[in-house]
Amino acid sequence: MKKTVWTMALLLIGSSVVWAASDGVQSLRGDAALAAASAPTSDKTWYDGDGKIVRQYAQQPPLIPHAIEDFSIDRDGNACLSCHNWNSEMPGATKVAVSHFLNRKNQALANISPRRYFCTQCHVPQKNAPPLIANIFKSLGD
Amino acid sequence: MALTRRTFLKSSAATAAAASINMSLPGVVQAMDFDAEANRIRWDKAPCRFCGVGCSVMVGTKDNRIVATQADAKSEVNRGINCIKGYFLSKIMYGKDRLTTPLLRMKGGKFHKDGEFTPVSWDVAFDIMAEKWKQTLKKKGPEAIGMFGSGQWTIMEGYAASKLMKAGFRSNNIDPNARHCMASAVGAFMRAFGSDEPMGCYDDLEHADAFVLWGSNMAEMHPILWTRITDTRLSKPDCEVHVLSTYEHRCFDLGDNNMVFTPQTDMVILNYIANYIITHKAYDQKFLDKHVNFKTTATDIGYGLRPEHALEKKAKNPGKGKLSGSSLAEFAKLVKPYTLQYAAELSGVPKAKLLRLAKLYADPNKKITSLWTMGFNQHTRGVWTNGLLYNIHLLMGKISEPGNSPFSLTGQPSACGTAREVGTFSHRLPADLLVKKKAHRDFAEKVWKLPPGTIPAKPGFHAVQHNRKLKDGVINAYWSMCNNNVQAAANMNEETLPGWRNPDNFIVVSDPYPTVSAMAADLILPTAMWVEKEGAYGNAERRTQVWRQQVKAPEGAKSDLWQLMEFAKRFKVNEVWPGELIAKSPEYRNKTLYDVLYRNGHVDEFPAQKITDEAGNVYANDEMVHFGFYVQKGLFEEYRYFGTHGPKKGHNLAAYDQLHTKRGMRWPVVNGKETKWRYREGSDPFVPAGKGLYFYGKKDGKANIIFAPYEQPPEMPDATFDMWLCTGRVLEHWHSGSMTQRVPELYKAVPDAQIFMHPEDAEKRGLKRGQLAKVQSRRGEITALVETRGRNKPPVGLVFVPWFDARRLINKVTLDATDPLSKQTDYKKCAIRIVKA
Repeated sequence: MKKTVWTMALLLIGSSVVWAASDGVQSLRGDAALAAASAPTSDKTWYDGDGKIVRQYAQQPPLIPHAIEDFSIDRDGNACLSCHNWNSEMPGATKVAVSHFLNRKNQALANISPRRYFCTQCHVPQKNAPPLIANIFKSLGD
Repeated sequence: MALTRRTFLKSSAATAAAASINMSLPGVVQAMDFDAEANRIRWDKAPCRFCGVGCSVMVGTKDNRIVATQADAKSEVNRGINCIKGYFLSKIMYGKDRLTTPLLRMKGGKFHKDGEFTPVSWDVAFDIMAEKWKQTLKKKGPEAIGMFGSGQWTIMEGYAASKLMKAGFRSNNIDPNARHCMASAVGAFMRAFGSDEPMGCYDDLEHADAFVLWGSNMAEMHPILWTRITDTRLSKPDCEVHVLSTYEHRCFDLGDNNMVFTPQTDMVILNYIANYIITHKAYDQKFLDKHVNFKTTATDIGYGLRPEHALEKKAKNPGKGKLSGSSLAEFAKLVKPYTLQYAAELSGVPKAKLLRLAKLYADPNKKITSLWTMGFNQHTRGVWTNGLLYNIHLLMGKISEPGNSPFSLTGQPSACGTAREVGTFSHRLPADLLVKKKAHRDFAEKVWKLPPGTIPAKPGFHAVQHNRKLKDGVINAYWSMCNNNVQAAANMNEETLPGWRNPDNFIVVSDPYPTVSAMAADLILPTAMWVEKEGAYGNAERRTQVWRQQVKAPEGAKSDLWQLMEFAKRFKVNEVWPGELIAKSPEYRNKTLYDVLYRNGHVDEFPAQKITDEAGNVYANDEMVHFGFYVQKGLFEEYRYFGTHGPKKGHNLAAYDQLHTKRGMRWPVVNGKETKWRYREGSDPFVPAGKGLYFYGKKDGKANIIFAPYEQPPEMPDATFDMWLCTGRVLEHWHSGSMTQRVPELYKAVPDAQIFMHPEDAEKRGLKRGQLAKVQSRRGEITALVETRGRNKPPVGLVFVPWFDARRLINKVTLDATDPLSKQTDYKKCAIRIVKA
């Protein structure tokens, strides 16, 4: 009984976000009809914070807590490594993991494996944008 | 350079700002954290849910929830690396708006086309669905029902769906979204080699001396294969990378010879290279004599638009794919006009770059792997263009050996394994068989224990026709599974939406999430996804990978397989088959389609069992519990018989139980051994001894070099719509974003689809970076932010817009012209204009 009351209260509070309320089902377009014009949007700034973004699980590649538009990675050089390589003296910068020194054959190399050269395939910066929809993944750290 | 970063300077003060996004201070580890049971995560392998590369991931599960995903170090495909999407697979099932009950549009307690979505039970959902299907079948017959499937279906789901449609309902109106992505590749494989899918494999990426990308942004779309190419390029002396594209993208960062060409002129460049090889007598005469036939193809074939369209009326040979015999001499004459001068003029690529590329292909000592995806396939001359590249590799004999590999990459996780190999296309049956060939239908009917004549001989409507036929009221009952076609199909305003909302039609969408397509449906079925079920996918290198169910789906959500088989229970044979067919198998008369298709002694051959791994962990299998037998294994093993005993050889898959123990195997698998290079003796067991190389897909063992000329695209920039539009994906989002937009980290990495354009083009229109602009075509418009400094850098005159963003549907703008042979839409070219919003 107590549980039912609690559930009903939750439904009432959350009725604007709970899709199951009969007419509440919405796509990521929100209440914009399919034929309607595009949703308004505006340019978002990069998260450029004062610390690292905590991982959700140990195996997750760290997210980049700063803008990277001014750093390039190409055949001639990798700007990320000037701060993030194992021997960089930049305090606070996350150093590349030892996994990055293994080649395809699992042999340890003296330097970063070329297959890990393009950092942005796994590591991405974040825009300051509230999520479109909540995600209920539970981290073991929570 | 970065040494003065603010983050660095303020790092000592970091504690003050910990309240910002997802930030916290390192916790203190106490001894109790090492409690063995609390610390235990069950890890098991599964192929990634996203692209066609087919990386293996380790899925970490605890208390029926996924708590982590990581790259699988044992997988030959990815060897311990995932891309950013793969690392966040752990979150794709946990969007807060997962659907958990069927939703039917209702008004006054009844179904109503304009009603509100209302929760109903699965029984009510299937009742109304079966009623609509039966009504339609009775009134108009099997050609009035349709199903739109997916290269993201598991192999078993695609197979079960194909059986239900082609054998159960006797309708070939089933087509997958792979039509939008791989159909041109299939067409070219069949024409050149008589057998679908690449001869090479990913091992080529370590063996090649040079890589040429033709319309493929692998750095973003096949990131893990790109890590392998980067590895080879940076660690192998003299290795080179050539990149061709209609705009500059991330692959250019590695490229040694980067070429931006005018849309459609890839055909000119390809014919120029063939011409160069011939005029310099660089071709391999012995190879040509032994392994190649020359052909030419019918020209002026139209653009797959509606038949009443002016361009179709104007075409001399609309839709014709007829090949006629030719010779090296005639081929030489036909490619002769494609000179360096002509190629440079039409393509806009400097002569020196084209020459460097031609010399590379013509060098007999360079092993070359050519790669392409949607740039070739989404092309109104896609089959031709795929073929023009095979021409070059065949002229040089650079094929079917380590490093020499024309490699058609694939977009979806099982576009190959499910859509192509199972044959969920409107004209195909499993293992490369065709509905129009009697011997092939006979074989399928025999395997399926069905009376002769069950499978209709006429190919059904293809994907693009589906929407047109819905609009015209020809198809009235339609089921879309495991895809988001209202956001994907081109020309949404004029074809898709009017078709789906046509009051004569009843539309069902099965999906885990309320997608754009779900919103356009009449009934939404909540669906289990990825590792909430057991399944198998087949990747682009012919590798079949199986996974176990890791967690339970949310209460109320059911797998596509469960839905298909349960729906089949709603139909008696005598309700759907004509009397004369039933007369051939009268014992089926009162059976359900479920009985006939899935309780046929094959599919239900394997009893329910305990699913365990080598470590003894036990896994759920909800379909097995529900139906009472090992459904996935039964379906797979019945399907496998097509490859081991069917009329087309070389399609042997590994046994289901063996696949559970491996990180996938590449077919043909014979005596437990996989094949790396098809058609090559010593690697492929189907090559007759002493032949060395044998293209056994063709009767005489010879591949076809097929001449095709350059022909213009259907719509080009003009005075009113003065720019090209190219569409595609970005690294962080998968397809229409229904999964990745719900992962906060991926959403925040790329929250909005932008208009990538040249700064001069922006300036000319009074636009600045970060401002809103409209993309307008003859068909529709969207509004998006202008990006002039992003990862994609188009030349003047072209813009690129990705299609993951449900809030700005670029498919309102795109043109539904197709390759008339493959019926695949060209999403890469249409005419637009950009104006201030």
